[in-house]
Amino acid sequence: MSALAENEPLLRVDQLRVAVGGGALEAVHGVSFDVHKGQTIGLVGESGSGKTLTCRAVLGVLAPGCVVTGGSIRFAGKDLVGAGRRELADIRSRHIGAVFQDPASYLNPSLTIGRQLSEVLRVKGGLARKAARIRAAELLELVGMRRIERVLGQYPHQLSGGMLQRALLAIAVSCDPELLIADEATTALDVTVQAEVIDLLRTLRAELGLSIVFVSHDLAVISELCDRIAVFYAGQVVEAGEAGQVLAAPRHRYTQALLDAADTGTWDRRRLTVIPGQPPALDTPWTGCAFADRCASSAADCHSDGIPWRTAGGHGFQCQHPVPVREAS
Amino acid sequence: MVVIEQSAPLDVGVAVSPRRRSLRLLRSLGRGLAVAVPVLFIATFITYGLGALSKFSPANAVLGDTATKADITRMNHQYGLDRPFIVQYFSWVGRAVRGDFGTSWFTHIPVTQSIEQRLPVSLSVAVGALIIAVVLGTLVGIAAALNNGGWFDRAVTFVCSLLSTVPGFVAAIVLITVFAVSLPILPSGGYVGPSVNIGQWLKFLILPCLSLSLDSAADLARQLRNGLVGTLRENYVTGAVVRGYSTRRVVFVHALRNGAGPALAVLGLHVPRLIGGAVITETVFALPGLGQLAKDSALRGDVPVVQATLLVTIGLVLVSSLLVNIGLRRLRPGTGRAE
Amino acid sequence: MNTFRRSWQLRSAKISIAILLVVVVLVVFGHLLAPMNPLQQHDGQILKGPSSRFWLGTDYLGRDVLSRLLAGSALSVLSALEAVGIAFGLGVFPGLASVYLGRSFEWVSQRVMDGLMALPFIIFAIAVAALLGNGLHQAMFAVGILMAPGFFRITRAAAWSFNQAQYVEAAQLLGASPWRVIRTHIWNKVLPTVAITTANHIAGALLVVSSLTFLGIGVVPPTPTWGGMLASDLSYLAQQRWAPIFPALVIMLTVGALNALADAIRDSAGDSVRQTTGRRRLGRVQNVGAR
Repeated sequence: MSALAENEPLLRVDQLRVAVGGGALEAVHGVSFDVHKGQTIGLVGESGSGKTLTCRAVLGVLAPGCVVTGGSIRFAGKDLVGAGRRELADIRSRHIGAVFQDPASYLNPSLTIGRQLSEVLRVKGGLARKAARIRAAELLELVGMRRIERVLGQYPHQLSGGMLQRALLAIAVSCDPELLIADEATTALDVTVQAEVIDLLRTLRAELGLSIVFVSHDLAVISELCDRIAVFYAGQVVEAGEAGQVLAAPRHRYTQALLDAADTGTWDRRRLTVIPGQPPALDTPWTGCAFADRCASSAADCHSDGIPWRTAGGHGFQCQHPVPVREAS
Repeated sequence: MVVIEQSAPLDVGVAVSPRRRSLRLLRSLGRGLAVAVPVLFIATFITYGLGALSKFSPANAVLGDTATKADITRMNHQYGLDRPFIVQYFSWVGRAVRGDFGTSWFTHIPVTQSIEQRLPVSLSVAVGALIIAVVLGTLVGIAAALNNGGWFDRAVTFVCSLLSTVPGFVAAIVLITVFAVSLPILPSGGYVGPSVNIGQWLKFLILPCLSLSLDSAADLARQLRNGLVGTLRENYVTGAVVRGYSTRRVVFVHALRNGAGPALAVLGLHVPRLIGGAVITETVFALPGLGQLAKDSALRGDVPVVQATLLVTIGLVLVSSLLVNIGLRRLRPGTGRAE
Repeated sequence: MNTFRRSWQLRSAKISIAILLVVVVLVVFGHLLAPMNPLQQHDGQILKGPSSRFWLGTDYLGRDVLSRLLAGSALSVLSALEAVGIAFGLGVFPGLASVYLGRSFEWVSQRVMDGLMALPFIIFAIAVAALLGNGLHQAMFAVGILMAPGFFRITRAAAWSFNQAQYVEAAQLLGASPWRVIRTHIWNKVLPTVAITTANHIAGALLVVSSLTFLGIGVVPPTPTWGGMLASDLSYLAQQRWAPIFPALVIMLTVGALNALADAIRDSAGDSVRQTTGRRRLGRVQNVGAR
């Protein structure tokens, strides 16, 4: 892979559009974000907001009936949308790794962990059988697995969710990728295991210099790990910026609502905030801001198209009546 | 490559050691036998009981309707048929285990000898059909699954459904009409042993094997297609694609292993059909096989021969299903444990 | 019961039922509908093709093929029903009982069924028919016995899965007798499964009957049967290549309609039924007859 030019992002998703239902219904409406080398970006949003579709489009494994209808995905300067099958397979295997929600289902149930791990190393890493075996053990060690010899000979159904996610991570980083896509990778895990996996991601990032696209609907998890955040709503990025900035001083009303709903700092059963209503369905078109119908601060001009994307110092949002900036105290 | 600092090389006792694997194989073999023994007992009991219930006796066989009561009693005593049923049964089983099935009531030829003569014919047809069924079924099934929803897939589904609605011999009739009558390139029936002329042997076997295999091939293709379509949707297949594997590797290493279960189970059901169902194929193509022997002997009332052919068939059925079960367990270790 | 009502709505079910109704008419009135005496040999009309007089032509003895086909339907179909009836009785009730009557009955019945499954269909049917008096009834009894495991297993699996359901547990806790639980809670749920199995097995039995009559088992020659007609057609294939089409088509339509009906019921049934009977086209007892 060619060396990256100065300031060129490792991954640039630009105006990506994805349609489902055989291309009939657009579900991702022009999503853009950059991931620079060594950076971790968090994609946050409700389920169905297009985070996973975006990830799958980047990986080139959209489900049948889903198609990229517009925009581009450039990885280290190479366009992935137009790439040939073989080229794509090469990039996927050597430069991008991926882990998902429900790790058990992403491992072949009838092959041992050792077999699946050494398969990657032999097929994609070009190692000989013996070398692959030793390397597999090293990788499991890297992801913090205990009793490695035992695990290598075990089948997925014999391992716990946390261990499976570690094994998947080992496979994902086995060929030393530059980018790791973690799609809800911690969602289905116990809270303690979740923390361990996040720790592990931090370690891997530090040791391997990984860039990470971290998808979650959990703001707390995102805030722990990510440098930047892109907030998804109804298939669009509605706000993006430095993690600290977005979380501390959100501008988009949806981000604010999301933070309120997730605010466990002053957790009180009686005041548990929920966002009323639901995001617009895929088959009902809307104009202007998709969040307007659920927004307490919406006005008439929220329903007309052409709401600009405003930026201020790397923090961008698309809201007609943004949350006022609090004066720094 | 990731560089990990390591003080000492890890001792990697990868996977299950060969010893443990063979132990597991032995255990599943043992479990299979534990089921097979009572099954064999019941099946043979029914088989022998059938002969005992029949109105045929060796005296009838030799003397026909002129046999007197005294003749029948004498001959029955000679053949040990006047002993209590249960004694007869166990002595029959005891002799059968040693390969002695008695002699025919009609020809007085040892039954073992007749079976040894006929078995190669039946096995040639059955094995030939099995090979065709597996090759054809696997190729068509995989192609249909990869073409999921396309015209080839739909054509395969249609042909398979069609084949399941016709009796096996109809396919045989169609094949004869086409290859032996319309464009006479293959014989419509008959048999030559492989030791006599191996080319002729193959020529005589093509149509019987093909007609016997069609039904199994269709079923196999359909099961494999359904199984594969299901597994190709699984996340671990997506996972394998994400790892950058070739389509061939994804299908053959990852999808097939998990999607072939039902197909293999169906194959287990079909192997006995290929052995037992050969009666009709043998009749249509005039092959001197085990099925013909069973049919002719049954119609004559040659009880020992019928019992022996049934017993041999049952044995073959049990052995084949045992093998398939072991295969299934090895293919999908998870299922064995779930029991 | 909703399962059945839903399945009647499907087009495939309607077509299948229409075909099966025609078959029923043929079975009941076939001999009356036959335009000629199926046994009468017409002089100088041997192996003739279809004509205005003989719609489907004549066979090697100059008999009217259409009349033989119509007259032969009763024996073919009723024999299949006879076998399935026996299989039903010997399979469904032990199947239900094996879930409720304790482990020893369960073990014994399982082993007996396994034993039956190891017996080869056609050879066994031939042996029974020949050794116990050459009759189709004997052969069908044999076929019925060998088909019983199919009913046994499927009923057992269905009853077992429903027996685990919480409402059944609740009924048991309320003190309902096992018999009452079976009648009110299990039976209705098991019925679609049993119906699917029955349809598939009638289809399978028809194929077995065809095979047996094709071999000449259990029927005395002049009696017309679908399988028997195919056998005589085979001998005269050189003269009449198209002749096997008619009996084969009748068998195909009947078997196809039964299988399609089973699929329709399966498609309209709930997940649990689909699990016990297999996915569509997965659990079908295909060509049971060939075993």
